[in-house]
Amino acid sequence: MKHQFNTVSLLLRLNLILLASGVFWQLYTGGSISSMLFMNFGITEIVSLTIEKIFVVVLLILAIYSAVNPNIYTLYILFVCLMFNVISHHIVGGKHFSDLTFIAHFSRLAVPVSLVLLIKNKYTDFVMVLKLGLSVTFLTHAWEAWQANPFFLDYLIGFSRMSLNENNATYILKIIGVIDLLSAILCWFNKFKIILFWMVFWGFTTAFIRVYDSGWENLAEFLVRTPNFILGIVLIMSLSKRNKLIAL
Amino acid sequence: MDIKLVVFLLLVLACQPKKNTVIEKTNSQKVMHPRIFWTENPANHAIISWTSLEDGAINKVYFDTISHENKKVDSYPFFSDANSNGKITTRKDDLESGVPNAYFHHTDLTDLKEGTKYYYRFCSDSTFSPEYYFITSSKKSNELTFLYGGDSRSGEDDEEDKDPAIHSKRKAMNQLIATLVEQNPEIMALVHGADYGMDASWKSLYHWFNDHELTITKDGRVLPLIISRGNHDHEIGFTENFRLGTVTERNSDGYYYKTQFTDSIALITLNTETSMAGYQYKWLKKELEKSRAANKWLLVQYHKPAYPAVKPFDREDFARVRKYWVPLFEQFGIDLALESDGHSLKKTVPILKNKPNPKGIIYIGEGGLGVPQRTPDSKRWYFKNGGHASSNHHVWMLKFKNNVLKTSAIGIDNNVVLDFEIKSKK
Repeated sequence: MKHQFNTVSLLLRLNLILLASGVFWQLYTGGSISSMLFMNFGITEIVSLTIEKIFVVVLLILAIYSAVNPNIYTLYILFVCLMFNVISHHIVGGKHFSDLTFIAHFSRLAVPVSLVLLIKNKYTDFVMVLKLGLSVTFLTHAWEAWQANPFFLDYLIGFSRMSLNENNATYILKIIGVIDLLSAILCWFNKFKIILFWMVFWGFTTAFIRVYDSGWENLAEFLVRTPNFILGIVLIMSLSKRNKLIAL
Repeated sequence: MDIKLVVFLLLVLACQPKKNTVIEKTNSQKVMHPRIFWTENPANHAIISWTSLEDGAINKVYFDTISHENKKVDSYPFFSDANSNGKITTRKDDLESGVPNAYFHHTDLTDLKEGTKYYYRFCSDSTFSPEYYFITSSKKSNELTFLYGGDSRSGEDDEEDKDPAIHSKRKAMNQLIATLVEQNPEIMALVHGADYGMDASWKSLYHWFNDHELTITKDGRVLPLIISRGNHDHEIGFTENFRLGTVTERNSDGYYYKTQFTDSIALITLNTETSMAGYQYKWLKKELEKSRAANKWLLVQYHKPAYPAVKPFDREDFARVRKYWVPLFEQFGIDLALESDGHSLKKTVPILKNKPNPKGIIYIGEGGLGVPQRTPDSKRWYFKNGGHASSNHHVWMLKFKNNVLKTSAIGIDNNVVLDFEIKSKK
């Protein structure tokens, strides 16, 4: 039991580092936070960039520290940092579906929260947060797919080596949208545990297609989306009868 | 004569309707925001657009090739009804910011004569604009001059610019554009690389259109706009107020088209905010196959850069431009690429297959029409040995004359910040 719990905890802690590394990579050379401070709050560019650099360094150090020595206070700070990142994305906007940023990041926000609940030994809430994180993120992706997000269209067309036309890609996205929606609903029912396996597979595929499409330079986009499949793995392990979590 | 009869006759005369007379009121507060869009055929077609504060039943453009200033509008021999009218979408925060409810109007003027001055006034019901004019392009000409710039959205780098209604840098750049047109009347159009306001909400666009009026010269010349769509132009306000007719309705969100300025000079506008690999890719490939052979000069413009000056090179949206479009640009030998988005001034070295190569394509722009300027990364390989990257409000002037294109970046103080020449590849 203890060993299996440790595996769950280890996975979440690893995910924390992967996620923080992705955010670090995305923001270190200038991203949404410096853009928000400079463009929206009138802070000078050099100060904005410095604040952002400090922010991502602190985020990464906290993530590593929490992974090695998890405690609820550093995890709370990590949650606030990730929330700040979400808010900056939302305020800066200028991307497709920017209005959905908050809910699209639900799985990322769920990582530190689920670890806190694990430490507090609140098993029911822990499972609830994992499901909520996965479900809301899948729901957001369902809507974006249904609305034919141009990035998604190009992933499909690029994946087919330009043999798929945009019209057919749009239809496929509608089907994907429906499947994502069903997954987001069915994952709440324990008897449809097979859905979680699908969500792990699909979460990984949709995260990795960023690298497949634009090369390893785009690894940060994959890293920030690792919760989309790691949370599913954690959930499968946690729901197993043998894996009743006890304490850290 | 009976006095009652005289009074009666006078009353009858007074009540007689005046035939063919339009009762007009000139009130720039009720009809405003004059703007002209060029799309595919600027020699013969222009879209005249404006805003009204009241929902007019009659919305028209009166026009002629000679001025009718200070005359009744019915002295204009031609008129065209607006073919797209509607209430501009507003949200609660738009109205709370102090902008009024308003209506958009767009009129297509077709079958225009090339290389001709057109004087016009627009009206919503009985409220008329002052007289403005524009000049259509000449198909036969070997010469052409136009301005290019992008990113005129607001920011808060300056204390006085915290109010988007003030936005002094954008105003200064627009006044510079008017001055440049007065000094160089051969300038035909302003190509805009997008990101007009912070977003395409009415509270952003209302002030953008107000400021755009500053580009009008003292004698009333309106510079036609050739627009692209940027990542801050997603809201419905963009399609309402920047309507381009069939170009807007084209597959895959539209806003990609070829502007044939003259028989030998063309500009392709692309939309980075929609699928790059879908319909647009097929259209671009077909258009390049057709246009490269037919034009001495072939340029492209779009919002998000292939070779960014400020933002990370590896970012997904820029990688997409390099993956899908740049190979086509290189295959068909585009003469110059115009890019925006970064908020800086840049000129790359010629690039071919992602390496410096004298036979490659130069990428210029990055956006300086008033948006707060960022500091670019001038150490990137494509700015070394002949490239340039700096932080400067600017507008580009492109002068085509036979086989030479003179390109100058004009700074906010009407000074040349950067200039270079390229020769036609044909």
